[in-house]
Amino acid sequence: MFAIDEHLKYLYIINLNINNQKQGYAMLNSNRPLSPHLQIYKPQMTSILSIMHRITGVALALGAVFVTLYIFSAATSAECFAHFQIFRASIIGQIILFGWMFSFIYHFLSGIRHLKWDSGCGIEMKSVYRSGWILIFGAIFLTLLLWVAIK
Amino acid sequence: MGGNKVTIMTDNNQSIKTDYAKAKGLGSAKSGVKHWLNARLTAIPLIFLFFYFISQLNVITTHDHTVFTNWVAQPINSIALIFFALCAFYHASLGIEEIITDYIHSETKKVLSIILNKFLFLIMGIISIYSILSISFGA
Repeated sequence: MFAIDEHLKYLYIINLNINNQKQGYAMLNSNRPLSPHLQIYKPQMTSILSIMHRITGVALALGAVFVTLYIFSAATSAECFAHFQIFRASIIGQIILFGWMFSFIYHFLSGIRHLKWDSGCGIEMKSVYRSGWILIFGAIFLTLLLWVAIK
Repeated sequence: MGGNKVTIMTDNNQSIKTDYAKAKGLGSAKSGVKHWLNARLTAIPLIFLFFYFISQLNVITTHDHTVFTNWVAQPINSIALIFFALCAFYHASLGIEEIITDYIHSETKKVLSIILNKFLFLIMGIISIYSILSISFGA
């Protein structure tokens, strides 16, 4: 009789394991608590500029849809192009255009900074912060300059 | 009598890689630096194309359809635009692939997202190049 109990206990434990596996690794991962990281780490120029490079990259990738639509509307017909120009002149169009222009200029300058690092130059902390300030002011200045230039 | 001298030989070039693995020269990502290098290689022409398009900015931002299509129809501009489309969409695809592999952990969702990403940028590239050629060779 005790052997049957052991056998039943064994089957019960096997059943538990199978159920855990059925729920999959995602279930086990999402139950774990994580230690705080973004909430407590002090934002620094290095990390902010780095994530801005990624964020502007995503913004450019989304804006690439509009670039495709732009050139496609020009290829379709003059009226289609005119519709696109009306969208571009609207408030939402201007916001998207400004955001895309800033993203382009920031990602461009930040990309050059990355290429410079890839060649090995300027990886000391002082140099990183100096090029970081040049990047910030350069991006803001060039965006405003080009924005005024296309008005 | 001198004693027996023991020569200690050390094999400093130990590696657990098979000969095939050594020949391929790949690391744990299994594809070497191809992704990283392609991102840089597509970035370099984009730098020069950026300067060129900035110099043509007042024509690119025109509201007039005829002016714009005449500008695109010029060979140098068509070629620059096609070059831009190829480099920019591939560069964007590589970048988004990195972001997907960084933030999506479910293997199914990751693979499907990467396939969708490559597909979308391929479609956008084809539509852009078709449009540029259509303006160049069309009416």
